[in-house]
Amino acid sequence: MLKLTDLCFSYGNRRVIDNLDFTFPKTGIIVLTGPSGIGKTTLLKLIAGTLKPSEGEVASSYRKTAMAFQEPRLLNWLNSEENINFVLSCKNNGLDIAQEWLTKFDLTAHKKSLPSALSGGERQRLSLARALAAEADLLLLDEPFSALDEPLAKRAAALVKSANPEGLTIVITHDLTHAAWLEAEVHHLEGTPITTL
Amino acid sequence: MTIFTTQKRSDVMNDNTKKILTRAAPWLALLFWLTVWLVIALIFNKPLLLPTPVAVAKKLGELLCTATFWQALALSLLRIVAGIAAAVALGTLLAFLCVRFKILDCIIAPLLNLFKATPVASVIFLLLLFIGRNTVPLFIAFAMALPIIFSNVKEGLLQTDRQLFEMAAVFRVPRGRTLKCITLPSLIPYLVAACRAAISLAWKAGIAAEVLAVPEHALGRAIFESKQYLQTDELFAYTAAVLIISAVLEKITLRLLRDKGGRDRC
Repeated sequence: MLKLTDLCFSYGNRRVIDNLDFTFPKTGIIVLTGPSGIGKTTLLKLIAGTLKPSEGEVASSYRKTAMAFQEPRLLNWLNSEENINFVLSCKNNGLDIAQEWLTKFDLTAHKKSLPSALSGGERQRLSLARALAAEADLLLLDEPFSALDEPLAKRAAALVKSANPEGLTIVITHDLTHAAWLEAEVHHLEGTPITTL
Repeated sequence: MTIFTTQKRSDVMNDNTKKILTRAAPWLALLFWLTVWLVIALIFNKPLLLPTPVAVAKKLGELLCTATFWQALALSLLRIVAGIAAAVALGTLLAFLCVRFKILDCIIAPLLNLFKATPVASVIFLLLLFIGRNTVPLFIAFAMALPIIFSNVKEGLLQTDRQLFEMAAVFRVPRGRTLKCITLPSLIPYLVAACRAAISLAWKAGIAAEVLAVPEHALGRAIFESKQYLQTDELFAYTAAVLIISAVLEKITLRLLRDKGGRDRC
């Protein structure tokens, strides 16, 4: 269960989220869309726990959270498989799991490449692969397909769709086609501050 | 229309020549200055004041065959390396603590600025009053290296990408792994720069401390005695040995740090 109660958040004097109450379904894929700068990423960060609410609370009963950030946030000194392995809790077969996800995202040829040797799209796929490989039951994806061309985005969406059947996946995107590929419930965020989903 | 063609054979040869010249440049510069020294020494023709590089090399060769030289070298190395190692350990620890607790930074910073500003000779004489002459060089090397290590590591910690820590926190990566895979690799460039500056300074100051404190079995003491007995060729030979050891020590430390900062540590 993921429940937002009287959630408020401000950047200085600018209130971005105001008294937001919402209970997400236990499983499934939720897509959040809305204009740039409205506070979608802020909301996702509040759910992830990297931002603390000004008021109210985020209650989560999920075992593990994983996130693909808007920017890839890769460790530049680790190669692709090591970047995935870094977030995995299983030490013994971490590299096997990493290998499996690199294959799924068509990055096998780059398993020993450093992020600096990857293109923007490859870095985004690696970041997404890392999030999916973590086997989290709360999956947060912030613009996961923005740097991918349509065929790659479609394949990535198929992987996202099947990655977390037992848990909740929240995806931020500007493109409603992505929501259609994910067959997700869409919530359009409007107005500042955000008061409803 | 732009046409890209493969490199010509002459271009490849030019590249190879450039590479060879780049590698040889420091040695050619050294050879140039040795020649300048030789010419000046020959014109001056007063070996007691300015021996030729050949005479110094010969003397160094002789010294290398004596047990006294190796004993002095070993003990000087031990004292100064121990001082630098202690500075690296304490400087790194203090930097971590000062980044974590700002109040500690306010307390420590003036003390380290004092360390930086105080003349080495004053510190040497003060230390001679309190501790034995054999340990003064160790403390001097420590005092010279500590502020450099501290400020560089602190800067490295402040410059580490916060977003990576945020990512690790979301994935609940254990603190130990975060330290090993994010903090330490981010610090390596800063630690390399710190060690490069600290080693040569601590080594020079440590030898200066040996010259003034004259501990038993020390390169500094040998330099002092060479000067006392006007054995200028020996003075130059010991100085050359100090320079060579400083360079070797710096190379070894930087190599070790860069290897530790390699990709395979996570």
